[in-house]
Amino acid sequence: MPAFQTAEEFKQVLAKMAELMQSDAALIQASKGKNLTLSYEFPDMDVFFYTSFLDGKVEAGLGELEESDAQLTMDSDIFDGMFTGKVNAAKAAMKGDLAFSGNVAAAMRLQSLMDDFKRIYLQARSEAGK
Amino acid sequence: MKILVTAQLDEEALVTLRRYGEVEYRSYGEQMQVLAGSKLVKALEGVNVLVTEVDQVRRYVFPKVPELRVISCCRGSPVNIDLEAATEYGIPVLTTPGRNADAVADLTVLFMLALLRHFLPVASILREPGDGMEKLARVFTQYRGAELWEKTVGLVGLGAVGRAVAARVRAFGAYVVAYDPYVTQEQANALGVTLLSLDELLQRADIISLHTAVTDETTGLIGEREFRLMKKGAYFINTARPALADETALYHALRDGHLAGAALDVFQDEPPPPDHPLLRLDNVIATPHIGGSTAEVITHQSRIAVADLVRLFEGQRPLHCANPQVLDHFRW
Repeated sequence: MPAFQTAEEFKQVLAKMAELMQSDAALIQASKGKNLTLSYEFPDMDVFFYTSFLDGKVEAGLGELEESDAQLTMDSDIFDGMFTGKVNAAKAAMKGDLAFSGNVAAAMRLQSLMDDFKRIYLQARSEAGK
Repeated sequence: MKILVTAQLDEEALVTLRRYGEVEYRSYGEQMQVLAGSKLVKALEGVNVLVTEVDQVRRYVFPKVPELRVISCCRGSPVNIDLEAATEYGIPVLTTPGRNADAVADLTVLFMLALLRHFLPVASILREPGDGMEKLARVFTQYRGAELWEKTVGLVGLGAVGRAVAARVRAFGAYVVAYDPYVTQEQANALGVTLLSLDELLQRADIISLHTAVTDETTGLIGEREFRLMKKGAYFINTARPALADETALYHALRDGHLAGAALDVFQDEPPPPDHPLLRLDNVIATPHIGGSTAEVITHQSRIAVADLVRLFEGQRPLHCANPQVLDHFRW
């Protein structure tokens, strides 16, 4: 069963996630010295999302960016699975379920923040009633 | 005809394709880019043939790319293509089975020889500090090796890779037995291979090597019972897929000394962490899924893919099509 029935449900979680990310002390601290923007496309839902780590400031939100350092494309179920522990990101990439372009090496450096992303995503999911 | 190639193809293949259309070559390996979603749709504007290896061709892509007529997927199984959707849209999905058969077979034989000759510890012994004579003594007592000659090699699966392994090890003077319910004894005879039941193979082989695809039938094919059926002192090799064998059961069979050693190119979690139990065993050779990673695989897949595309361009039936039912009504 898919994690989200509609794009609206998924967008609600992402919007909440963006709100939490921008005020999360751990992420703000981790963003110091970084200048990195990632954009995400979820083609199954036709939804776009982005996260920026701008030297002490975190920005995130729904929408398509003209430019970003790295671009990730995956179905919403894969994104949800990565943060709920059902999907291994490396395996998803090897299987072709997670597509990437741009400065992938820079994006990989955010791997150390995965636990924070998971924590925030689960909170966003819960607050959005999912 | 517009042909977009994102798979890695060799120059000879590209030259052949250019005889049939305008070719855009954007190898994912060079571009470090996997196409998906809107990027893939944009890349496919006006494209009639896509030659891909990793791009995500999902259901929602097809209605947005009406000019796409054929997908050539440079994989044995087109896991990155929504085959059902391609079939609904009448698009043949061509595949390249056996493209890495030689590469994986080479690695498998390397593993067999390395296990039999204790290659990993022996190759590092000269670099270790210590008395030279003591090292030599250790080599001749602890690490005396064995030959493939007259060993019984048991192949689970006799497809392209299994056959390539059989041909190689027969040249070493080994006996080859195999378990493959989809191969006849007559076909096996032509390869110099004796077909056995799985249990018989496990009980007779000195080296057991897996070469089957993952299906409902083969998932978990080798578990605790099967490892116990193997001869004491046998070697186990998996260069195929991790889902075929139970890692925990393998660990116990190795730790308890029932198996003499194992060589693994695939793990449930890839890459496995350094503290993975199997990596802590001295009698395990482990590599990070390098089986198909050779320069020549590009040549193999180029030849298989282009030969089938040429057949289709020339109005003939391709040999390797994952949805052959669409070929009956296929029109350019």
